[in-house]
Amino acid sequence: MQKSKRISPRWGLWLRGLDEWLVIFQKVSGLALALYLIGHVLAVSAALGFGHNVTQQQWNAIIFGVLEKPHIGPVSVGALLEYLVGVLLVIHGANGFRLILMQWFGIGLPKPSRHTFPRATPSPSAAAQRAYKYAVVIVTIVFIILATYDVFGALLGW
Amino acid sequence: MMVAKSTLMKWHYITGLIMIVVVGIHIAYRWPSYDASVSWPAVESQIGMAWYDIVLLIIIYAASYHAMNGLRTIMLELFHGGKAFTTFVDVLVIALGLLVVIVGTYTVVSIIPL
Repeated sequence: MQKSKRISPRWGLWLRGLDEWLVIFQKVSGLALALYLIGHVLAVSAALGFGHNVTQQQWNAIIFGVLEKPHIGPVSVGALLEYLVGVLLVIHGANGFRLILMQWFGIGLPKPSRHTFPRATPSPSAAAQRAYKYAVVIVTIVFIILATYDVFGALLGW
Repeated sequence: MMVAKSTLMKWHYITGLIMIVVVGIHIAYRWPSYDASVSWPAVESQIGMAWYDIVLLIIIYAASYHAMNGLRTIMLELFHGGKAFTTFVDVLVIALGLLVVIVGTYTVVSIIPL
């Protein structure tokens, strides 16, 4: 049997439209969030003394003495990173919910039908697909506005 | 033991749906001020609620499965290294997942007010 060579995805070719951007956002945000999860659990557990030294001093020493200490102007780098993580979370969550509705429940997809010749495979329902994708974008924008108020509201005098 | 990719993905979707709820609760507690929500009085109040600690435990379990299965999928999509590489990735994600689960569970169970 002839051995076929597998080719890694060429990211540049994916940059064609909203679908491709959502694929890339889903992968990149997922990777960043997976790494963040490990750091977040370890850092917060350490700040809580792994449940055996739950004191204000321990919490402040790690959260405000290390993680939230570096600043860019008036903005804490820790708060800025949490803000970015929040944005990644909402992109990943909203687009992930769209993928679950389509890939698991098949909502918005046409019923499967037998292939005929020539292979006129029905394309996914375009209107439903667009509604999903725009919903993801709208949810993301609303969340970014709320998160900006939440993290930077006091600094910006809102 | 081999687990079918469809089974892995089914649990990926289930944990994803669970996390939309529990991570939503976790994020809602940062509102209306992130700075105030991570100050000690607020944190002490949050971890003092047993139901919130249970939410944290659910996040730890659901997120570690979801994240590690996602990490595995991304690594196997990006790099094609054969069976040995797949085994390496499996061992790596299981070890990282166990680290998160053990450290997180130990901390939350130690502080839960029951």
